[in-house]
Amino acid sequence: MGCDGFRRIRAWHRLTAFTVASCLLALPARGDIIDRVLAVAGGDLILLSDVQTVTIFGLLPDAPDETDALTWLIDRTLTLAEVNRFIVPEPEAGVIDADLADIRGRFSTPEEFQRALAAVGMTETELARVVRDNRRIDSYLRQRFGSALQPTEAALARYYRDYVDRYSVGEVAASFDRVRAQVQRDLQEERRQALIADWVDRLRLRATVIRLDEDE
Amino acid sequence: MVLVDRSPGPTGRRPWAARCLPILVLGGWLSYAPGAVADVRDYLGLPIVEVNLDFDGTEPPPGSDELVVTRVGTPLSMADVRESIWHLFSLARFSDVRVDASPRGGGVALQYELTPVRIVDRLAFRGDLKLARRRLREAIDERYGARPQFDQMADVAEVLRGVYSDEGYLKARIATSPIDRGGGLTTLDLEVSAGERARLATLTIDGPVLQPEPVIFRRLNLRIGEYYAREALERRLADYADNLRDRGYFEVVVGHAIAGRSDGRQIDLTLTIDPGSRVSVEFEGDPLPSEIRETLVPVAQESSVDEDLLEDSSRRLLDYLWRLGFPRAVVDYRRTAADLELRIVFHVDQGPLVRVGRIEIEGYETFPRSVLEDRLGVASGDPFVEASFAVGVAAMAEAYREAGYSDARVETQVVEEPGPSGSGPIAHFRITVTEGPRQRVRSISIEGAPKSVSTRLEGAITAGAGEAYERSIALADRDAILQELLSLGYESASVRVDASFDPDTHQVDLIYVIEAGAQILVEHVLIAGQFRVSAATIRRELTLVPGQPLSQDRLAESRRRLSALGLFRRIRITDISHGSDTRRDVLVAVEEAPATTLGYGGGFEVGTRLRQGRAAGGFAVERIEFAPRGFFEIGRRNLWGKNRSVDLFVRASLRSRNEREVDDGSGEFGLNEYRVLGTFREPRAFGSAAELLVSTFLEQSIRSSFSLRQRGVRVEWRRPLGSTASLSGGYTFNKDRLFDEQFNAEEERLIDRLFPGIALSTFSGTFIRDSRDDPFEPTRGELLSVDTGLAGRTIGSEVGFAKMLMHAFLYRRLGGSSSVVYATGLRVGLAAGFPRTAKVTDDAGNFVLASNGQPLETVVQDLPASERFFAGGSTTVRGFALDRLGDESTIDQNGFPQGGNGLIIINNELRFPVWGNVGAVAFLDVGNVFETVSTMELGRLRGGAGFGLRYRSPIGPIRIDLGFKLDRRDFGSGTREGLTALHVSIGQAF
Repeated sequence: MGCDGFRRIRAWHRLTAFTVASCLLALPARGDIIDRVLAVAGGDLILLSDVQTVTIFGLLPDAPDETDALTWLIDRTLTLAEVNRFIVPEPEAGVIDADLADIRGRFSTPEEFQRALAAVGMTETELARVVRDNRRIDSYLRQRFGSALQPTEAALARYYRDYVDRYSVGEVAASFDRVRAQVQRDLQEERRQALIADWVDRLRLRATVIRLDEDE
Repeated sequence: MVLVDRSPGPTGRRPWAARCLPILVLGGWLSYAPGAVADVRDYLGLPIVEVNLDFDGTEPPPGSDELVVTRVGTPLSMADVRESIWHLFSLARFSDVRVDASPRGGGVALQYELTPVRIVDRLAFRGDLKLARRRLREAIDERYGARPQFDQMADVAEVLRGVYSDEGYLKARIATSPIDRGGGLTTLDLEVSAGERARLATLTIDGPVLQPEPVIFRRLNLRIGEYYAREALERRLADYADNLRDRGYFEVVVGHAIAGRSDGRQIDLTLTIDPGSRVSVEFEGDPLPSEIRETLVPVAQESSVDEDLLEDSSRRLLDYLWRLGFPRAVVDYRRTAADLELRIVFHVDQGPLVRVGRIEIEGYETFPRSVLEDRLGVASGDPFVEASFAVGVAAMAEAYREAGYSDARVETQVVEEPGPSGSGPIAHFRITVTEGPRQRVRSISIEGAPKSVSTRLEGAITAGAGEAYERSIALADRDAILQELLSLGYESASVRVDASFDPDTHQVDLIYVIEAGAQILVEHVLIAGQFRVSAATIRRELTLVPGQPLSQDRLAESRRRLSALGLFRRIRITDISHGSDTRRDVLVAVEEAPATTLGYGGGFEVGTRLRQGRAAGGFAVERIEFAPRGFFEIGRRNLWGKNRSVDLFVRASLRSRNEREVDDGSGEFGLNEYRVLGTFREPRAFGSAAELLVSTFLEQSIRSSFSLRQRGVRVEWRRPLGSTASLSGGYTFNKDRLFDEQFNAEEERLIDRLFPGIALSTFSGTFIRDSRDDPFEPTRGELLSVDTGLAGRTIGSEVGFAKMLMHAFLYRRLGGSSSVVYATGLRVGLAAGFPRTAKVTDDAGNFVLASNGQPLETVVQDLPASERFFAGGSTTVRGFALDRLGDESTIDQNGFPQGGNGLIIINNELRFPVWGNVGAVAFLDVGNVFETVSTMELGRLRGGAGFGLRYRSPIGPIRIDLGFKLDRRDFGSGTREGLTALHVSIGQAF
């Protein structure tokens, strides 16, 4: 292939590059997503800013990623709809104030707290309502699933054997009789959590839940 | 050999394309890549310079721009962004809304990207289905509804795999792919490979069996090698469990589980059958009726013997015995279990029957003894039921408190003594009433009311200072105040009434204490779901207005008004909160009804008709005739999105024509009665609350003395006056033609002879007030209507007349809540013709000439036959056949009615139920038709009485009435009227 051939190749390169560049530049520029719908749970919207509210304000203690926060919000929405069907005692104002103070304390300055609120489009009143609803949900779940059945001695013993590491100091396991009360509390709590999880699963089956984050 | 020169060029730089391409590609990718989630704090507070809405190529919903509250020129706020997303999503037109921001000239540009909802309205099944499409479609409908969004169907394949698994297709494969057809509609393509159906490989029973396993398998129709079908097996298992329950195994538990083998062709089936203990329920002690035992101890019905049920059963038995007057009854039970047998024994000791003896009431002044006895509700000789007696005493005390005796006390003393030998004790009662002073209201005040509404709330109070204090009135006022607050948008309002009594002056200060809470205002009204109906049409009917209180009354009224349009199959009005405590959006979501409506039906009419009989010498004979009829209607609603409509209605009856010299009813039996009516309806015509109706009609009817063909056009303006009244005015131009006249030639009215075909131009007006509770079968209320008409030659009519017909009906239940209804009605018709001259013609239609050779003229003043009043028949005076009511002035000598200018009809009817849906009536109707208004006399009224049966059917009451004339008369020809008239029809007579 001679010089003409190389020139032709270079010319094709230029033409191709120009065409690609023209096409790409002609495509509409896209900005930053500042908010969007992430899920619809039982007809209620869950927005990106809701998920950010959870993570920024630490509403879910385990500090999960945004996918976990969204799952938690979906379950919370369905649970809250159920809670609102019943008369649940209102939490005392002091409790909500304490929760809000705790959240505020996670920010270095009051201004930073206010900036965080603005970033998710919320006011303090609205945040207080979220906190209040969380308390109401807790109260409802305690009321509904609080009285778990007393486990049998055999079940307690089995649980102790299965999780004996939890009741060990160093490599020495505490005797069953010594930690029996703790084992009973743990087993009851585990069963309670299993009951709640099962109940929430059934709520999810009953409701229409659309997750749009999974489309990505 | 170098194929491509990759060395730098003469200038030492790489070639242009090599230098620029990566940058361009990167730049392009950056510009095209999906938007990254930004730290919004970079944008917050910046002025918005541009807002775009991208509807992904679909038609923007009307008014969507106004739902976006991030406006150009305002600083960006995430609260506004969130609210805008809520608004847009509330339209139910988008499955996703996302907001992108990008810097633009010192500000921020916003782009709302809206993904339209994709409705799956078609399912396309392909491949090796093995199961019926209908079955698969039903499973999808059941899970997602008839028209689901595609986004909701993420697990549709899983749903179908479940259906296949239930039928033993354990390895079914389902692949789904949506096909977008545009307009938001999607076909969901379902490619199915059902695979092989699994057969039962092993059968196992888990649990203590009562029969040998092969017997159970046979009973359940289970065989190795057979196909597995979940539903059928569950049905058979349920039957088996029922059978065990019938045998006393009330706590039986059955179930099954399957395990598919890896090849998918074989299933291991395990049945779980736990029969539990065999339960027997026995009673000892005093006897109880068997039906009571089964009802009050529902162990078999509930299939349970748990402690709660048994305790409840004991309590129910005790209640039962106490209600019968055994206040010392004792019921207990014990359980004995041995060898899978559980014996439950109820021991019943009813004790002696106690009856009420004397009841002495003393100390009462305000109420007569009968009122107090009525409140007590217990009479001497009744079985003594302690609870009923306590309720009665409390009701007596309540009567005093309601009347303002707030300190009133009612005390009782019971003295029991042995009854006559062989019977139980007798309980005598002494009831002492201490009325105390009557309290009067000294002052009324409201506390805690928002200032802006306090005057309105005061207006809701009916109690007045100085009046006797009645607690029921104070409570009613409290409810009225609360209702007012709710209607003003105070949705969490609560009101309590504090009555402060002054013991010295016996006066009460009433304070209505209000906790109003926040007033909720409407922020936006969002309309969704409409396609053909314009949003303006919907908005016009809404009484909820942005900025106004979110009132429950207005919400209900809006829903009622939208329903009244008849355009929607479903209407949902919900308020949406999106953060604000005081502002809500109202979402009006509608589902449109089909624009084209079709209706058809059939029926029949049975009634006594007049026919001219040859055998009777041309005289009228009454004959019971059966006439089948049918109708068809088609309408198109919501024309041009403005709720205009057009309708075409066609009705036809098969009936014999009125012909002379036909006496067997067989002459020309055919579609001789028909009606064709086309109507255009414009609601809210010319921006008013009135509706405009333009109709054209073609009609042929067979009346008793003639047949009539009419065609014409009518324009009517109708305006509602409140919820029960309406006023209408109209103009009608019609051409009527008489034929098959039966009138005696010598007595035929001049107008009918000279104008067999006539053009009428009439202005009319109607007022209607209808307060009936049910238009088809009213039990209370009134109906009043006044209908007037004026025809004149100056407006194009060939004859002129004025006419008025008034109806007044009244319905009442007898004895308050009784199911016996008394219905009465009065109808009065008055008409007068305007005189005109007309040339006299002979039977052939030729002018009759006067002695001067000019056509002979005469004065005509009658109304044409189509406008004259006739009476008699199933809805007027039921002792007479249709139109047959009259006397010698309006019935010709052959017995055919000619109609008249005056009419009076008075109806009285008693309607009462007989059994189930069957009712009966007794009626007395009087009335008459008079030749002219001046000859109307009450003394000339004729009567008919009779009875009838009603059957309340889904299409209205089916009616059979038999009427008897109270005064039979002879016609001029000497023929005597028949005694009875039979009518069969649908709907009440009036």
